Amino acid sequence: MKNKEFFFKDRLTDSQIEKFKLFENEELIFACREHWLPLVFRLLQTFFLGIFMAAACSSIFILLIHNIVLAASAFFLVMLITGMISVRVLVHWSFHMYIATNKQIIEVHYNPLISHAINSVLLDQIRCTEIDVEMYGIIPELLGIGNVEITFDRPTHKEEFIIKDIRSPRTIANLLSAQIHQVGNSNRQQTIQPLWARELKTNKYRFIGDVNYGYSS
Amino acid sequence: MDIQANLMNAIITTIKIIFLLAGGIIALIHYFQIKEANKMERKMSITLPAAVHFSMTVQLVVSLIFVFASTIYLFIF
Repeated sequence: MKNKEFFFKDRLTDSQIEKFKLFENEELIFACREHWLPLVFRLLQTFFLGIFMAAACSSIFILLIHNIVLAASAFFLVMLITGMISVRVLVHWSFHMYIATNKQIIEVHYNPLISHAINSVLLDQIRCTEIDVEMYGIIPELLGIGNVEITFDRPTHKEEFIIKDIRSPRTIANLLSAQIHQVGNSNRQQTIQPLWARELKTNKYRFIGDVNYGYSS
Repeated sequence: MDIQANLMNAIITTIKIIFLLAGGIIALIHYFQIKEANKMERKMSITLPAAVHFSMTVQLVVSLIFVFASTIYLFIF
């Protein structure tokens, strides 16, 4: 690792990160998981919702059918479903991570039996227009939890890449903007090819390229 | 009166069967969830915390106990 000070790692080991490196000379900028606090909030929310639903179901059985054993069964069944959802949330949190190198930004998320996705954005193929940091609420502000929103301007459409609920979003946004600026400059020096792209919805042509303003001699 | 009692019995039996099926489905989901999580652990070389493994196993055991208890309740009581 050349630039040690450029490296930010949060609860992920080197062996976990190495799997996602695709290119040679790929250097890690940061690798992080979602902060544990939103996970705790989600688990608490699921738990209280589960308790409420279980109590509601069991009270229906007591009031309508007057059967306590069925009411207890309904309570346990709803709590089993709640437990299943909680475990799923935990596993999803463990497998959800963001990795950024000097070549690409990767988001990995896996939900057992539901979804498994690896989203990768190659930094030399895009132009970044905005990097925003969002921190809402007292607790996130105090603990330094927030989102980093990166807006990419691709030749035909705009797309956002959101790194959600991470620790130290300002640091990560600074690291990313420095890296993207560096990649963007090196690309611009290599080839500057203006392009006309047709938008499918409006059927209009859009010019994509650098326009020099003012007089040039 | 008999019709009402029979209807109530039928409803209770149906609910018991639904609970048994639901418990079975939950146990199956737990089993496959543990299997898939272990597979992904090896594939992505990410170790899940011991607490997650423990809770997954406890969930599976509890759901199996629920299925067992619902079966007894359905056929005996």
